[in-house]
Amino acid sequence: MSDPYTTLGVSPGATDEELRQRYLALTRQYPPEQHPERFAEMRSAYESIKDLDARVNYVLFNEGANDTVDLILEDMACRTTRRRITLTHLLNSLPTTKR
Amino acid sequence: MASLKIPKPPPVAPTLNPADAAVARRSSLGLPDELKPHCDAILAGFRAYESGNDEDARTALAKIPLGSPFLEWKVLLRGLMAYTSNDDGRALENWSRLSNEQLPSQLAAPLRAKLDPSFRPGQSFEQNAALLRRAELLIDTPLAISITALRTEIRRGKSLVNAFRTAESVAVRCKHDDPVVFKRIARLFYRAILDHGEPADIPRYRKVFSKPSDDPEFLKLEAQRFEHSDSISEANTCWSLFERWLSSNPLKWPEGLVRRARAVILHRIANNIEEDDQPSLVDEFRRILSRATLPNTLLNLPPIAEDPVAIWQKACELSPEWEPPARALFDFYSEQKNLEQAKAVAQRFLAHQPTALWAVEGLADLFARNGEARAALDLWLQALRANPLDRDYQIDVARAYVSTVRVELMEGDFARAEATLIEGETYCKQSHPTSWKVLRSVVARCAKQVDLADALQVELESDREKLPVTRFHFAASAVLAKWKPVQKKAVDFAFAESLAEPASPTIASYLLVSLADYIEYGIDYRGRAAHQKKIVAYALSTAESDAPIIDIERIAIQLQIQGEWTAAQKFAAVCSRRFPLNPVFTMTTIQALLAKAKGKQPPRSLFRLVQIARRNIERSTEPRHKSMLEIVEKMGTDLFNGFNDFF
Repeated sequence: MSDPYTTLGVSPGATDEELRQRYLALTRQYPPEQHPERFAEMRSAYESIKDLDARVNYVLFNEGANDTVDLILEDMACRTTRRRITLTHLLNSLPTTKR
Repeated sequence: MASLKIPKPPPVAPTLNPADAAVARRSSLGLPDELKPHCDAILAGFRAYESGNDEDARTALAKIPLGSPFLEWKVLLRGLMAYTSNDDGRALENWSRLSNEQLPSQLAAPLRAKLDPSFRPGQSFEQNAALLRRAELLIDTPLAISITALRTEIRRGKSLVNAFRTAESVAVRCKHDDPVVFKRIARLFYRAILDHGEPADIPRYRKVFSKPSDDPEFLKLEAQRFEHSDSISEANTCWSLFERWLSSNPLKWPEGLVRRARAVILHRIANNIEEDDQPSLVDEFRRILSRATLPNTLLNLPPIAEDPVAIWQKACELSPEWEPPARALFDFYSEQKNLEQAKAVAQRFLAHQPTALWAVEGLADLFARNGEARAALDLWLQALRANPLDRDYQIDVARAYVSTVRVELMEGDFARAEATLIEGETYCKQSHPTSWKVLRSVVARCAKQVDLADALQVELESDREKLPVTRFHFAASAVLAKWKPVQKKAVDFAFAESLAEPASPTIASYLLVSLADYIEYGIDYRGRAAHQKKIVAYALSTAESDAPIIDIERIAIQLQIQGEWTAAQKFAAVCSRRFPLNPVFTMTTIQALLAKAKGKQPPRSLFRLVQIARRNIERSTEPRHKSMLEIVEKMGTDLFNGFNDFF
């Protein structure tokens, strides 16, 4: 999961009520029946910072706790433009025994 | 374009068809004249695509007619253009039309395996693995390839040395180009050091990632690592330094967040001190070894002051609305019987969190113990207003009402006592009807309402079953209301007379509970000790009664609850002889011995008793006995550890 503030689109100084309102607005925009993955991500982000206790635990102990190499790679793939695969690279990728 | 170093392949084998061989050679030489333009078109198409000009690539491909041996290459390139435009569906549709016998199909295979899970069952596990590896080399950026290599190194759970070596190349690539990824990788390593790293990993981390902005001296990391290895003193030193660093708000957090974060750290330090029992020799060795890894700065610092109270107080000042340190402080002062400080803590907390029921209840109990019944009553009413249907709160309110009346009697304020009785009538008639009616009768007599007083007394005396309880309350209330000696003597005599009847555990239970009300509300009166002695003696005499066993067990438990350890031990001794397989009486003996040995080494006979209790619990079929199993097991463990520490 990326930074919960980024996921919810709020500033780090947002109050409990601001977070709650933003979360409700997002659930109306991405209802769980139609956007299950997005909703789960938003829900997880909200739970991690929804009140002062959660925010303190997040900044002291939980930031990045669920991050993995695979998640980082997945996010990178989503963010970057796909590279153009050259003919040379295609041919060079063949296993030598095939030739 | 990426600088991917892939080794130069050997020449194309002669088994390829002429079209595939020509494209692989990047030359139409040797082809029949009619096919040369097709080959040139394919090569031109690839050049245009590679330079980002898809329009020119399509124009070139349009020259390839149906039936051309280069059609497969046209389909391959169309698929590549769709893939680059993120149109995976169209890409796969194109590639699925490729012939397995020709080269384009082999070239597209890794991409199909990566994008289309339904393609994979057609290959063996090894083939799929090989295809996906080829796909990673084709699709992934050099940065992604480096990070993928990191996956196995950091996951392995062993030394992070190789992982850091791999991370160096990752850091070089992404530190400036992709700072978000750089930060996430850094955090992964931070957590890896915390989970399974070693002290030498910290300078490695610093070299690759620089200092983490939220923990520049790695104090938080070290504190948690020390906690994991039970080096509590060192952990607390690190936490203390981290808290001091946080106090200047270097991360520019909102004020409330900083204060709460500091309170969380301080509370953790105080809890560590509280929970850190006297270390065993093994712990000492571990501590000495872990100190050897401390940086010099920490080694030279004195350990922090080990006063959890001062630390909790500081945490409460920083975050007065936060429950844990307030509760810890309250519990500490309550255990120390420092009622004034405990009250101050609870009242300060309630000022910020008026609905905190633990504080309301705790404060009510403190007021009660201090003889401030009216203050306790107000708090119990506050708790009941928050939970009107809570039966326990209703009983607490009733107790508080009758206790308040008793205090008002003692103060000679009969008018106020009467008003309180009427105010609390509904609650008291539900759970304390006898107490209420006795007090009503006594207050009426004090107010010269003799008829009412007599009527109530007659009504009470008619309930023969509860007569000893009624007469006890009359005897006590007569003293509180400062009746004349002759009146007091009469009720005392009546009480003593009622106790002469054959003892009943039910009545003994009522009497013990009634006595507890006076003790727990600090209502001391002349003669209370004598009444207490009579009631306890009455309870003891029920050990030989023919009452149901569950009623006899209840007396054993009540004597424990009320701290009557000598009586409990005697009671249990008699009952153990009568009911040797009943675990309740064995447990009562154990608890009495433990209570008497408080602060000293408990007798070794306890081990045998615990074994007997455990055996009796296991043999019993009663659920109420089975529920004691966890208690006796913990008891056994605590005793064992206690002896181990001692020897």
